[in-house]
Amino acid sequence: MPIIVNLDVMLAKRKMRSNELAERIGITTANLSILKTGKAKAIRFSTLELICEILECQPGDIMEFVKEE
Amino acid sequence: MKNNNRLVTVLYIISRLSFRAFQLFLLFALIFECIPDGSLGSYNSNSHHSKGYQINTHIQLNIPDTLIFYNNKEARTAGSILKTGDKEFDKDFSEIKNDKKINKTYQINNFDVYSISDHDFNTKKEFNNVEPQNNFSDLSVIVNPKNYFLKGALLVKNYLSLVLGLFVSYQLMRLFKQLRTDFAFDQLLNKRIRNIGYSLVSFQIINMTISIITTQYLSTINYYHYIPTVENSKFQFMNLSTYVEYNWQTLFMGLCLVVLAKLLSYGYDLQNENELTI
Repeated sequence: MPIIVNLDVMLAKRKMRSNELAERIGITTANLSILKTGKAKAIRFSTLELICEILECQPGDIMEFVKEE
Repeated sequence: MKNNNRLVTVLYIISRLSFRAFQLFLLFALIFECIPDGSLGSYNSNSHHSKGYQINTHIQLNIPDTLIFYNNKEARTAGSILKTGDKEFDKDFSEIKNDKKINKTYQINNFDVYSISDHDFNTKKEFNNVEPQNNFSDLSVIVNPKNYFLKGALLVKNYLSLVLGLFVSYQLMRLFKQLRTDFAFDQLLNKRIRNIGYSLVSFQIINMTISIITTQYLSTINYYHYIPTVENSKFQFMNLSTYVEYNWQTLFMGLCLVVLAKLLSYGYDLQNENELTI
């Protein structure tokens, strides 16, 4: 998929663990893992809003568009 | 969910039993095919390559009330005429009946011959328990063709339904087994339903094609009744004809299953997308 999720990079920058983020957003760690590995097909605006609020970043900081060749 | 599981378990057991039954049937049929005369002890197989295979036919039995064999020497016409329920035919019948110049022989209720001089035409014998009518019925006849192509076609037709039963019961068995462990949408589930649908459609198409071939090879057989002492007494009392077999219900069911499988596939995609939306 041309959308790359850089959530792990942002988590490392904020020195936060996945478990903690999942707990604060209110989703399971399995679902957060699906999001991190790029297996997710869609993301709800509410989830994106919470991630941005907790990690103090913009949606563009955790997602990136890379053209497929 | 518990009720679902119970139902699925029952269906699984039924499909498993039918699969085993079809396996046994096919095994026995193949064993009998391998035996040269198709008999094992006191048991004789009806459908066998040495005896022939069953095909469905229509039988038409013509039982008239009265039959006149006539011979008009002046007009040089001869033949037979029946008394039926049809007004148009009965008019011709009456004309011939009342024409005193024509030489006639009567046959009342088909197998009792009277001559005009011996009996009163309107008097019937007491045993006339057969109503005058045309009787149509379906009949299975065993055909043993010498043509190897036709024989092969009949062999395929004979065992096709067994093979279909075996395949469908196997697919159903696997389907219910899978549903027993996980009652949810699945691509494999769709595939099995689609397979059943396609197999039903293919079965009908193959069966119909073979049926068309057999009707081309086996023409209608006419049976005549003939009285040696009476001139022109040839009368067709029965005919046997093959017909193109088709079962639109099975074809329709197969197509419905294919559509259902496509719908389930769409449902699976929706479920998958929903699960992967975070």
